[in-house]
Amino acid sequence: MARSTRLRDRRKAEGPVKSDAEQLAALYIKARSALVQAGRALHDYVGSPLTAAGVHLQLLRMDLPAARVQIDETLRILEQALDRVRSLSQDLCPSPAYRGGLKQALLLLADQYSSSGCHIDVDYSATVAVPAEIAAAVHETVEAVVEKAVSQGASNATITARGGGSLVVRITDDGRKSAQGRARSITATLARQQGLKFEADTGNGTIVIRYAVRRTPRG
Amino acid sequence: MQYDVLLVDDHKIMRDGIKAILTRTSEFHVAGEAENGTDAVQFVKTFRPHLVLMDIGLPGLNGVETTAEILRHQPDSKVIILSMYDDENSVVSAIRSGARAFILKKASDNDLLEALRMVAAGGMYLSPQVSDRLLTRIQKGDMEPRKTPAALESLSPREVQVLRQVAEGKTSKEIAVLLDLREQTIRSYRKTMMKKLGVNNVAGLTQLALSTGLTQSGRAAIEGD
Repeated sequence: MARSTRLRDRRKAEGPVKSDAEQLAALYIKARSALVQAGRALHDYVGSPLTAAGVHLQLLRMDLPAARVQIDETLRILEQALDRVRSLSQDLCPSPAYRGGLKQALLLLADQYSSSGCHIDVDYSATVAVPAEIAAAVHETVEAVVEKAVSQGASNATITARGGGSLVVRITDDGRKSAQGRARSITATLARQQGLKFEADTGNGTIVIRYAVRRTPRG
Repeated sequence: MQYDVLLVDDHKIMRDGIKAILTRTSEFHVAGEAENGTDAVQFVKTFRPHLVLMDIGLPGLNGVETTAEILRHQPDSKVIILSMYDDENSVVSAIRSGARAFILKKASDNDLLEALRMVAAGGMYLSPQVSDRLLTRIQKGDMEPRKTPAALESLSPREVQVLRQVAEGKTSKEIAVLLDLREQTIRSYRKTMMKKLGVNNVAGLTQLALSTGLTQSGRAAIEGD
């Protein structure tokens, strides 16, 4: 009796047991976050100072016309290094949401799918400021949902984003699979691991992604 | 006339460099600096500078979102996006948000000044590297809107989907699984499509799909199911 109570207390303290899929998803998100952070650090701490150095070299070129050839050669070398930094940083942070925000990323997604026979309407009126990593997570989740919908026969989809205090994104499509099935998919697991709520609106096959902005307590 | 410019970049070293370039001309005056989007919006609302030179990669509200926010409050503002990246997504997002120019941070001082002059005069500007890339794509035909080819206009969206799968060499059974339909329904779609498109067999369907560019990856595996 005492032993089972101890076991129950320990389980309670450890929190809910994660499934294998959840554990894998958590590991994947952690590893990917590290790569994204590396990409952003590369941009901020290497790319930006190199770019600024280029601007200062251009100023030097104006001041020292006699050294123009040498400065141009230095600029060329700097440019090669910057191209590598840019390319690597972009590979590590591929989501367009990092550079253009969620709204633009969703519009680009609609553009991409319009050429493959699926018409997507994006209705974005959310005013909530979403952190870049959350914007990337929402974009990735929406993209996965749309991809799944298209593979299951959807030819039309609507994405709406609303919310001032928290973000609510709804994806409706004319595909055949029920939203409940999709809600159990790996996409849902990944979304949840990134702090998003992923729900299936029963009845009309709508996927709902929610993000509640965390407010830091005052004082 | 001297144009007031707001510099928006989270890196002071970058703002200092650009400021140094601008102060060497008599045409532009750095009216203010901001290191984030929120401050930039506030500055524009209060001081209404002629031009805003905006870094795309700002922390928090990024450059594209800040541009949209500025234009929401001051629709006549002229925003020039400065970016380290020259990928199409960044360019499209920036221009779509209402920016009047997109220039690369690696642009020369002359390009930067040219962009500012052009936008101040009411025009738009793209860095030569960016415009070259876009022009190349237009020349190749990549930028043309991809509509359903005329020959396929008689097909429903679902039939187009089935046709694409047929052209990629999938059997009716495989397509049925993929689209979550019955195999018999796929066979029925094939017959209807053949009738609509005036072809007699799967080879004809595949050839039509390839010729209209519906698929490029057709294995043209013509199975007789």
